[in-house]
Amino acid sequence: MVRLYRRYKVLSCLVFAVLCVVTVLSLTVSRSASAQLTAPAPDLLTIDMSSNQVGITTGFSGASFSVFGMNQIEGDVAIIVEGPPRSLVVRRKDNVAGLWMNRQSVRFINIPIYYDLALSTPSLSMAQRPMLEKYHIGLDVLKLEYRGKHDKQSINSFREALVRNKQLQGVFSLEPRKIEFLNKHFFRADFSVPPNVPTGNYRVRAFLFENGVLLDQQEKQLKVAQVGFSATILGFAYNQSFLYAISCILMALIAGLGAYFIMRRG
Amino acid sequence: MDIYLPIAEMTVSVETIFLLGTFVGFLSGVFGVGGGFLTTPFLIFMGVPPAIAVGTQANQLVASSASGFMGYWKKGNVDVKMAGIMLIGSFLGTLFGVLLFRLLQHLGQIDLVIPVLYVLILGSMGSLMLYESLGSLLRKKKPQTAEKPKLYRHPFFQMLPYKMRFERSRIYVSALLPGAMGFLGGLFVSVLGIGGGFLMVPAMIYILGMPTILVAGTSLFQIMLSSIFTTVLQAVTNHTVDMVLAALLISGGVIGAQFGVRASRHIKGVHARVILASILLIIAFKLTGDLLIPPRELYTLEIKVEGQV
Repeated sequence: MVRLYRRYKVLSCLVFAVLCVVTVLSLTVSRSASAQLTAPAPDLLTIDMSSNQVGITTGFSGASFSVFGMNQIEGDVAIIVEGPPRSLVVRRKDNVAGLWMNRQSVRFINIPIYYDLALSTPSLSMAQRPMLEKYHIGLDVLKLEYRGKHDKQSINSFREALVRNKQLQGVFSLEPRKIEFLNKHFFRADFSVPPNVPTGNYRVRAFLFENGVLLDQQEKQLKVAQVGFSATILGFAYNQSFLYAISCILMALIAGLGAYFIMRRG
Repeated sequence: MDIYLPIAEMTVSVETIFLLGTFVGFLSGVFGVGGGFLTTPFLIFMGVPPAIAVGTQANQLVASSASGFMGYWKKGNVDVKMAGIMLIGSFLGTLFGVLLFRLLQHLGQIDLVIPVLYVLILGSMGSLMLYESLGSLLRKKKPQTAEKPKLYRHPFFQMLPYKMRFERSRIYVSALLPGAMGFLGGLFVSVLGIGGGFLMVPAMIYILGMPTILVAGTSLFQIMLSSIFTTVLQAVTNHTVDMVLAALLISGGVIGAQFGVRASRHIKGVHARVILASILLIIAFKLTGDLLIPPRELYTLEIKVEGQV
């Protein structure tokens, strides 16, 4: 019994010691890591938006919003507006016996449904490529992951087609927008979204670089959603789909029968 | 003026949709056709997703078939029993059609299958109609009605089981025949967004041997019921009925139909058939061109809805 107790004591001491060492180690490591990775002082960069929601109304024909920001230290700023990630299939038409039909297809995953960016520099020279890739700064560095096995050449043409089509639809930016500095520490960027902007919770992220080093970053949410009458119809269609169907049919029947009676009278 | 379609999630011009509805309504007033063959391809061409174009078109068909049906119903020219049997077939056809549509969409072939079927159906109907109407136009006299092909006398149709007596039409045929026609009709509405009246009417005359006077009303009754069923099915399972789009199409259609009916009093039947045949052939020709001419953009994108395979 005593021996057992002693064993426990030894064991618990050992566990305690190990825990202590681990804690100390992790503390020092994390401190050094954080010293390396993030800014020495917080809030070097602060942004806010003119509106944190894009409301799609019945008469919606696109919208615009501005991102304002303060930077404590002079540097290069990039602002990314990114829609939620989705899977999407890119299909390629080929000629089969004279008919043009879809043949090959590639399924891409985690593709933002919307992408736009604004830069304070004329090009993406603010940081090295790995850094840009990590934070999705620039269309060229978007990963465009896919599922399945495809040879490199065809995947490249599928990737190009994805970006080209998204740009044609107006949901991927053609070229970076400009960030205007009102003075050295205060900037603004104007964004606009097209009428066909996909709905969802968007992320607006701003990055402050100095000589290729990321000093600070900040993220805001932008909600793109239908509001008012459109939202009511959409909610009705999804939440009470049977009643919705019945109302659609009633509307059609009333219109059809009304037309008949008007016609008969005429 | 632009309007945002809540289900299709896109902005369209009110005038364009309204004019499309009016034009289709005009055609249905003049020729008594539903006009789905015109609306569905045009909506797809405008960028409305095919599934929503077809689903919404089913809703529009409810309106146009209902107003047509009422006229025949008032005169008592509807064989309700026949329509009932067809309806059973059309329920199955609609269910099958909605599943088929999903499968084709999954395979990425919906934008091949829809135009090909349109070309086949519109092309053959258009050329037959043009041939027949031009012939009678050139001969300047009515075609002899005695030479109708009496397919329903064919032993194959006579020996089918489950024979039923249809008192209103005064015929005794296998229930499988109207059932199969209903099935085809349901398939048309749910896959192509067309009522298929222009196919159903001759089939009812030649294969079932129904009296001509009952055919149009009965076919409209069947189209109305199967488009109601399709609307419910599409709205509940696929959420592809856009009420705003349907309302625009229907209101245009109601107005267009008034003009169409008035115009039809001044157009001779033969001339009307020549015009309708030409319209069918033009659409078939356009769709054939789209299938054969190398597209400018070979690639298309389809965003997958979460949870969908």
